[in-house]
Amino acid sequence: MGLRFHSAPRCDHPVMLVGWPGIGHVGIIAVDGLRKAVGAEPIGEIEPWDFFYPSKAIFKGGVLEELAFPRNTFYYKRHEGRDLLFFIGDEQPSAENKAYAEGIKAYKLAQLVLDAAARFGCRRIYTSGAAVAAIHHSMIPQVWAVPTGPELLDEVKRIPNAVLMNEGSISGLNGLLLGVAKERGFAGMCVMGEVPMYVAHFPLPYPRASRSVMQFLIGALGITADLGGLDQSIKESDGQLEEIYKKIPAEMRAQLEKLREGREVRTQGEAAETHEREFMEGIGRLIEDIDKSLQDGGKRGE
Amino acid sequence: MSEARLQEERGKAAVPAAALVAGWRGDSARLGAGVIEYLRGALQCREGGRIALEPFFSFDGVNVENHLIRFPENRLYTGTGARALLFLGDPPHYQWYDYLNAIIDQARQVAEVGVLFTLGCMFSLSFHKQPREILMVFNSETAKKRFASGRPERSIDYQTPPDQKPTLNSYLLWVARRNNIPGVSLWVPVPFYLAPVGDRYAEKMIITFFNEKLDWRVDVSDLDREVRGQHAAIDRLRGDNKEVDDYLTRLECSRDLTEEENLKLMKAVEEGLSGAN
Repeated sequence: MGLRFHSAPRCDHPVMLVGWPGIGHVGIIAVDGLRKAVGAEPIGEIEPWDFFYPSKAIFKGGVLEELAFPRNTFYYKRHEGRDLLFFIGDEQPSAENKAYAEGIKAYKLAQLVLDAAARFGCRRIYTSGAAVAAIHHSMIPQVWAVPTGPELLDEVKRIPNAVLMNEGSISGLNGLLLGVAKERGFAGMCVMGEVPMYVAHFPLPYPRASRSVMQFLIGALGITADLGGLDQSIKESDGQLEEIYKKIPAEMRAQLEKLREGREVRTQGEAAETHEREFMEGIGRLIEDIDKSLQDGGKRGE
Repeated sequence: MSEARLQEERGKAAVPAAALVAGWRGDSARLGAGVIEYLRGALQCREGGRIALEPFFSFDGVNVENHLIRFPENRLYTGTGARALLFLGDPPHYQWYDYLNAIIDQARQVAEVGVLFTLGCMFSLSFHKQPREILMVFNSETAKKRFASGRPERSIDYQTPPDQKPTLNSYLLWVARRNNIPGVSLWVPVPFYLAPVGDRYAEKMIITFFNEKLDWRVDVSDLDREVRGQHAAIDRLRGDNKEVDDYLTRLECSRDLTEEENLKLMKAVEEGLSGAN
């Protein structure tokens, strides 16, 4: 079980950005997108076999050529005077049939990622993922941020379109890694792009949220990067969602339209909490109905 | 130091490298268990070790199969002179890499492992009296040179489909290669309707393969009798059940059945032969 590096860049106070697959692939699209935008190159990896079942076997002429495992790769780039480390995992290690990382394997993987960070003198980690929210898919997703310590609260407050998450939980390695980081004295932050509640149920990427996360990270790091690479996938994703949206029965769609006002509900303060809770419960029931309706081939649609 | 002396120094019996045959409990058509249980008797094997279950299985209750409690287990058996090592175990739920290495380590505690064979079957639409063939994939060119049938049409190019995972047999082949052990996966196409009752003909083919390649000289006359018995039982079923006869006649002529007919045939064979095996 271990880390393998094939190059060892000399870094000056680097930060590490971490992405895994999850809801809407928001985190991995954001971190990998930023990695590509700054041109970071692979420098090492985590040996996968202690954490993952192989993903593919390739036989040529009857001989096993390759047994491929999910990749866990570290990248590096010095960009506009900032040393940037990236860690991108193809999968989260998990117990059988669980969607998110948990258990001792996940904990060990988190420790290895932090070992790598420490090796390069990195003391700050950003993880990224999705925040399932009562928003409409036509809206620009906000970013929910949760730092490991109060000294980072101001960083969130100064970035447009970002909000602090008051309470709740962060599933999988995005949360676990930061918990372990805090224990080991790293500073860190989880940055989550909003995904509409009804979209989170579909097995589709949601690059709109990834773009919001990327904009947050660029702001936090004080760098520039061209995010145009996401435009095409956002266009495709919007098209797919519109197709699905059309299949939702008209009366349900009318309910979802109210989500366009959802943010107003959420930000009106304590007086609105009961209203918000009722609203969210109603949306939850609506999503169950939509699922049933779509499984039924959208027969009740227009 | 002589080779014999060297092996003595290592605390092992002075024997040639052994062949390790690995099968999985609960695999399709019970092929692995069928072959290994037969070899175990024929080669007068004794238990040579087992792998601790604790880190590899979820202990969230037990399964019940054929009216009996089923709990994960594994055994390594050693044959006379330790030339044959047989492993039969449940596929692990977790820490596959460690488990597969533990199989190799366990075997190496008994003897030097010269080659690994894994056993598996795939379902085919073939008729049960048609000859079975053994398909092979290897973990190295060395293994291929030594054990391939020599028929170029069986040089398999294969890649795991996107929505599937590699088999545990492929994973074990890879682990063997990392341990410098040549490895061969044997795959036998089994008529689908024999899945619930097992395919004694396929088991016999594999044991005959070992006899030819490893000079094991295992007497397969008991298996021959069982193959004839299974065929006779299916013949009787055909005589008693026109629908089954029709399905099997069509398969014999390489004509497909519908999915519903496949299921009906499988159920009829299971019911008709469950007492005959």
